[in-house]
Amino acid sequence: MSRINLFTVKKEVNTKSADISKLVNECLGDKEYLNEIMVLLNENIEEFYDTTEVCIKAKDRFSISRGAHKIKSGLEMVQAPVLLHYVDLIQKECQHLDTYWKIQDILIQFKSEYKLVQASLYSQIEGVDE
Amino acid sequence: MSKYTCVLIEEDRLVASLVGFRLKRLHYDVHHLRNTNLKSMKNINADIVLISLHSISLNIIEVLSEIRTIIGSNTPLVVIHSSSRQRLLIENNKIQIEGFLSSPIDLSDLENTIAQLIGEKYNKTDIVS
Repeated sequence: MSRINLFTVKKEVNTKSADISKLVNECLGDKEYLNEIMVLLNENIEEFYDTTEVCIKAKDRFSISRGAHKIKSGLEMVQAPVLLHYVDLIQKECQHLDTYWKIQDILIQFKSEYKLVQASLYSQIEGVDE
Repeated sequence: MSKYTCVLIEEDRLVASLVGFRLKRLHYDVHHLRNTNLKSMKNINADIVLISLHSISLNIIEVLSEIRTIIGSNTPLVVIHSSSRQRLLIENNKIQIEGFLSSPIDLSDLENTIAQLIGEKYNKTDIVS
């Protein structure tokens, strides 16, 4: 009788940093417009960084959570699971009273992941057939 | 020439741009408002109004009631919500809402919903998205 050791069965993990296929579909494959959307996404993310930095200093949990929520739609459009996970973590930390240092840590990780996502998105846009 | 006028209240410029891109392609005249400063809405003769609840922080019911007063009962109002709790809150308050869409928004669903509501408003069956 064969046995499956549950502890050694590897789960399939989504390792792709971002996937532009959904967005390409929504933009009807318009490459120029996809680049415009990237500009807007970058602006939203920069705004999120600024808001979060300021609100950490001001200890304003509500505004941090709201700012994090605002970028979710964009990240869902580009299907960036790791970044969405960081956003969830930030929102969870906002439910605690004094964990601003943790939010700062997550934000640093978010920033380095976003650089990878950004590079991946630009290379995927480059590969879109017009 | 634009067929119908759509007012979009959406804080996120990325989402607003995508919605505008799709609707303009279908010859809708899209007026984008970034916040719920509803005074400017009074000057627009809207055929349909879309509002994303991201744009409202606290007083959802109050804002939706005010929009309904401005646009009257004949203009369809579509709400883009991010949780079922928000939808429940609106339904429990018996505010007249013609369509609900969940976030992240599927733009093909949005096109179909708008075409259907505009069709019902003008009693036309030939409006296709």
